[in-house]
Amino acid sequence: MPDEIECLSYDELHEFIESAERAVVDFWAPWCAPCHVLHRMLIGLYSQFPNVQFARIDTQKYPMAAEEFEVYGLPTLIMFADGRAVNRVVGVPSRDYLIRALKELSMA
Amino acid sequence: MKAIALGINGFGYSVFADCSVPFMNSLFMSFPRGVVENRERLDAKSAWEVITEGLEGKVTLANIPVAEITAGVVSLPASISEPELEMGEILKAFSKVNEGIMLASVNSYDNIIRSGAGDRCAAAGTIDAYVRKLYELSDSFMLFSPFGEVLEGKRDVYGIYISTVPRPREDETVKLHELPGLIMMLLEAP
Repeated sequence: MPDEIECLSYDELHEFIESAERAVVDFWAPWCAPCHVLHRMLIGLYSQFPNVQFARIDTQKYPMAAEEFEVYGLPTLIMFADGRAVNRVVGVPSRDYLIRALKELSMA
Repeated sequence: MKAIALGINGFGYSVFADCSVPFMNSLFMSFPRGVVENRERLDAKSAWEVITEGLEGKVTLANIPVAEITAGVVSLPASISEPELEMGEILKAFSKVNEGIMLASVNSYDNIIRSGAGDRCAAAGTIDAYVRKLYELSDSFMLFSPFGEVLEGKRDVYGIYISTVPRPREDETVKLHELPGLIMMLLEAP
C-alpha cells in the first residue's frame, strides 16, 4: 500500500481507470482549499478499502481531464467500477457519507 | 478600522479534516479562501522574513519568530509550546490596538507538531477559540499559514488562507511574497 495517493497525468488517467476493478479519482487543483480538506480525508480512509485504487489528477495542469469527465466544480470524486463511472461526489462530503459511498463501491 | 492578520505556522487544511475547529470552519465556509504555497522557505524564520518585508512601520508586529525571542509588541520564546499563553498574549495586544493592522504569528502549534509532544487537535481547538475572540474585535480579518503541517514526517507545502477581503487571482495559490500586499488590503475593506 503506497503511503500517498498517486498523482496521475492525463495520459495515465485512462489506463488507471481501465486497469482497476474499482477506482476513485480525485479531481483537484492546488489553489482549491476544499480540495486539500478532502485529500486529507481520503488519506485517512483509503487503507480501509484495499480493493479500491485511489488516485488524483490536477485539473489546472490537465484541464482536458476536467472537460472529458465533465467536472464543473472542485473537488470532484468520481468512483469507477470496471471502468465505468458509478458515483460522483462534488464538494467536501461528511466523513460518514464518504465512508458509505466507498463501502458501496468496494462491494459493487 | 482595525484588522488582524494571524499567521499560524504549520497549520494546514488537514486540521479541518482531522480536528474540531468550529469557528475556523465557519470562517472557511463564509469568506474568500485560498491556499498558501511555499516550497522554499519551510522554516518559521525565513518564511516570516518574507511575510514582514516592507511592513515595518505600516503594521503592528506581534510575536514574529525572526529570533529566539519573538519580535514586536508580543515577545515570547519562539520555541513556545503553550497555545493558551501565546494566544492570550496576542489577544491582549490586539485589544490595545485602536486602529490599523496587527500582524501576529502563532508559533506554538508548529512547535507542538514538530516535537510530537502534545495533542495537535487540542492545540488547534485552543487556537480556534481565540481566533473567534480576535475576529470579534476586528473589522477585517486574515488567517493564513506560511507552510503546512508535518505529516508522516514530511512538511506539507500548502498552508491555509482565509480573508474577509477578496483577493485578485483566486484561481492561483498565494505565494509568500504576495502576503505583505494582501495584508495591506485588509484596510481597504468596505
